[in-house]
This record gives sequence, C-alpha cells and structure tokens, in this order.
Amino acid sequence: MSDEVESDEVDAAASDVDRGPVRTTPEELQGASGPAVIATAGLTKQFKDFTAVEELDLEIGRGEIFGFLGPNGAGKSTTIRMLLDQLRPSSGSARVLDLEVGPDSLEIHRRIGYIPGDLALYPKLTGTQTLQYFARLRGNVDWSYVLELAERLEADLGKKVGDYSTGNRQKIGLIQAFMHRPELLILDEPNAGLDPLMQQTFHEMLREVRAAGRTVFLSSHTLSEVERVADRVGIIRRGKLVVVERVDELKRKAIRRLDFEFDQPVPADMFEGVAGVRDAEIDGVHARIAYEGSVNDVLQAALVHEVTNLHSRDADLEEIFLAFYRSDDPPAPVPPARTATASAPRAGRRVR
Amino acid sequence: MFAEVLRHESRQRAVPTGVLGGTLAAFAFLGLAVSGSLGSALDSLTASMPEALTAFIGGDSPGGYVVGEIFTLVAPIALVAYGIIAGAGLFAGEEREGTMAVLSAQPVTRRSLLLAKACSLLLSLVVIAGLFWGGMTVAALVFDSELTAGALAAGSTHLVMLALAFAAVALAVGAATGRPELASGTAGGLAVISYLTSAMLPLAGLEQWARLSPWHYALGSDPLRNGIDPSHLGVFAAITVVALVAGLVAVNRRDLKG
Repeated sequence: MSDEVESDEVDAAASDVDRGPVRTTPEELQGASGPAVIATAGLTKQFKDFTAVEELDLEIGRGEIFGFLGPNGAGKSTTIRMLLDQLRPSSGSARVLDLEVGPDSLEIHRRIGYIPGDLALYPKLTGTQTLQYFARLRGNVDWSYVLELAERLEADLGKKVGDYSTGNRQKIGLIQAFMHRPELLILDEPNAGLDPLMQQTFHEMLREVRAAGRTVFLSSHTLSEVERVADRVGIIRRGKLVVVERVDELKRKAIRRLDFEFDQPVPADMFEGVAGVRDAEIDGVHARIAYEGSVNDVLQAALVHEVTNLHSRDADLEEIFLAFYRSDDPPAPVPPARTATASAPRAGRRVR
Repeated sequence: MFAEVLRHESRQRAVPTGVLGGTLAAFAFLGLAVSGSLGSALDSLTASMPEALTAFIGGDSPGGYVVGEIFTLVAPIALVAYGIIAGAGLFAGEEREGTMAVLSAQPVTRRSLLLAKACSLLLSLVVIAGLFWGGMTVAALVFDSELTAGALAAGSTHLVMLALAFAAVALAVGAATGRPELASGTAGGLAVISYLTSAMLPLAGLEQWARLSPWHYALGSDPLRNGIDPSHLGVFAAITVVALVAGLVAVNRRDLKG
C-alpha cells in the first residue's frame, strides 16, 4: 500500500516542481524595498560535464538576512564566486547592488564584504598586518572600528596568522568582511571554528547590519545556524534552487515530532487515519509521531490511552533540510511537506 | 591600491630577495679574492683550449675565468631560477594557497594585481642584482681587478633583463592557467633548453642559431667589455612585454581558482 501511495506522492510532488520552486519575494518581507541587492537570472555554471549551478533565479532585497542553504557541493560557493566575478557564468547574468557583475565588479567589490568558505590568509603576517593590508586596499576603513570589532570578537591581532587556531583565523576574516561597513555582506559558511558564544556575538552583528538597512547573504549547510537570524531561506540542491521561503513559513510547514510514553502497550495502528500524521513508530509503550499542521488530532488520538510522558520537539528546519537532501530521494526537487513521507521511509510501522 | 599590492609583495619577498642578493655578493667577493691566486694557472689552462670552449666556460671574460664563471653561470642561473620560481608563484601561487579568494574580492582588478605583482618582481630582481653588483664592485676595488663599476653595472643589467624575461613567461603562464607548477615547469624548461642551445651551438659552429636563445642576448654582446647593448636589452623587453600582455589578456578570461 505504502509503495503505491509514495509513488503517487512523488508524482504529485514532481508536478508541483514543474511550476517552479516555492517563492517568497523580498517585497513580502517587511522593510525590503528598492531595487534588489542581489538579482540573478538563469545563472548557470558548467564545469565540463558537471553542472554546478543551473538556471538560478534569485532576488534578495535590501535590509534582509538571506540564508542560502545546501549541503557541500550543492553549488553555494560556486554561486557566490560568480557573484564576486571570480567565476564566469556559463550562461545567465547577475546584478549586485544594481550593478552588473563583470563590467561593474570593481565598484561592487568596493561596496561588499566577503568571507570565503575555506578562508586562507597570509601565514607570515600578523592579524594586524593582514587587516592593514586589506584596509589599505579598500582605503575607506575606520581603524577604530576595526579595533572595536576585534574586541567584540575577542580576536588576538598580535600573532602571526600561521599560528592562529581555525576560530581565530575566522575572526580575522570576519573583521576583514565587516570593517568597511559594506552595504552587502556575502558570508560563505562564516561560523566555521567559532565557539557558541562567538556565534552569538556574530549573530548580533548580523542583526545590527540588518537594523542599519544593510543586507546579508549567508551561506551555510547547517539550518540551525541560519534559522536564528535569517528572514528568508533559499535551499539549493545539486545546483538548482529548490525553494525560497520565509523562515517562519518554512517552520510552519516543517514536519514536527512528538514522543509519547503510555502506561501500557498501545495498538500499532492507533494513529492510522489521523489527520496530519506522516509517520508513526510504535514500540510497546513508546510512540514516536511525525506530523504536520495542527497537533490537536494527534493529541486526541493519543489521549484515548493513559499518557505517562510526552516530549515534543520544536519545529526545526532541519527536518525540511533532511527531507530535501536525503541521498535516496528522487532527483527532482519536491516541496518539503510531501518529501518527508515520499522520500524518507523510516523504520517502524507507517500510518496513512 | 597598486602601490599597496606592490608594497605587500615586496615585503613578502624581502627575505629571499635579501638572502639571494647577499649570497651572490658574498660569492662574488670571495670569487674575486681567490681569482688572483688561481688566475695564472687557470689562464694558462684556458689558453690551450679552443676559443669556443673558452667562451663556453667563461674563460675569456675580463677579470679571467672566475669572473666569467660568476657572470656566465652562477649569477644568471641564480637570477633566472629565482625569477621563474617567484614569477610562477606570484599570481597562481595565491590561487593555490587560497588567498586569492579574499584578495580578488577587494576593490582591485585582476589586471592591476598582475601588473603590481610584475613590478614587485622586477624590483626584487633589481635589488638582488644590485647587491651582487655591490659585492663585485667592492671586490674589484679591493683586489685591484680590471673590472669597473660601470662594466659590472652593464653586465648586471643584462642579467636582470634575462631573468625578467623568464620570470615574465612564468608569471604569464601562471596567470593564464592558475597552475604554478605548470608555470615554473614551462619557464624552467624553456630556460634550460635555451641555455643549452646558447652554450652548445657555438661549439658546433652554429653561432647564428644560438641567436634564437635569450641567453645569447645576456652576455653575447660582452657587456663587461662593451657596456650595455640596447638592442639586446630590447629583445628581453620585447619578450617581457609580450608575455605580460598575454598574461593580462588570459587572466581576465578565466575562472579564478582557490
């Protein structure tokens, strides 16, 4: 039964995808106005037989924090490097700060801050020398602000970069990206090596950037990093943009989980036919339920029996993320709510 | 921005530049110090050799065999090797090390970067040759050699231009491909083949063909005796300009690595 249902659902999902990825435009976000800060049209990068980024259409408004998510190798860094004119698109075009990438890249570089995913700096220079070099290249850096950033991030600028830990090197990279108060920050996996406390500080800095009307393009392969700060999220998979959605909307659509413990073993089919239940694993007195939408129907079905313990997990974008990136899911991208059941079979009894 | 890249590059290369220049200067000084005692024995040895062979080993240079060895072998090979290694790593090396990712996101064009780096390379070659010239000049005064400061400056200038030409080829291949190993391999291979061509063909009576080699223009006009030969320096300048233009065109057309 379930095979048939799953197959139907995949087909239905595929037909949804034919209508294009789910979109939320920058205008739907409060405060986003004016021309897009980043706008790509059919942006494609082909490396011989491998398509790293395919027909990417993306629009990011001023004053938002946009999370750009995908697993390693999905095309995040390739997209970013095309925006920076480090890679030349095979086809399509991109505009940054309403300037054309390529002809206007010098001006674009003047107005953006960037930290690459795999940051490398000059090992023989100290942190101060490194930042002085980049500050002089830019020419519009307030050194007292550099020192303020260093103090905030607790960065030791006196040592040679070659002697730094990954986290300290990353701090230098972040200061380098923030120090000229750019209109747009393009941050590729910026959390690498930062301890949780520093990540909090970093997130505060991002929120301040947004509050000042500036924009952040934040790439990550970890949803939990992004959901705390991003307004919208775009998910890229195998070079294709799968979904662009507000974070709160994605959370609303997310598959959530409830773990029940009953006072005595319960029937294996007790959640069958309950609205919203996508998956149920029942093992004696324990039941692990995955559901979407309202929790009421699930609770009503459960409370027929004596519940001794209940554990709920917050809506987590990780669920959506995993649904998109399971290695065994079909090649066509599918909307999150359907994917969770269509492509992610779990152990245990499945209830429809 | 150009000046800042130039400054940064010069600082990055200060140690190897100083060490190589100092070593060549010390070598030149010691060479001239021992050439007095070795001089008569070596002169009688080289006098019995065929002219081409004497030229090949540098025995016909003013100042004798030792000065010849320094000017035809040690200094040019050191300068060319340095130029090729540094040139290959200048642009492509930043891509291999990953530093190009941050650098190329700064408000500086690829072409400005390449030109600034090329200037820094010329500067370091001049510094090395300058130290070498200083060592030779002081040694010539101390040991009462027939070599003059002007003659040594002419010879050193020819060597700088020789090294610059090969360095520019390495820089251009690196800029065009992003692969420092390929750049040093290409320029190094060309240097070795052209050196052997320049040194061997005259022995076989094929002096005209030796003109195809850049090495011919380094010392073929005998700058230690005749001073600077502008036409020979022009050959090096032409090679350098052609290589740089090719590099400037190619670097703007490709994807950056790193």
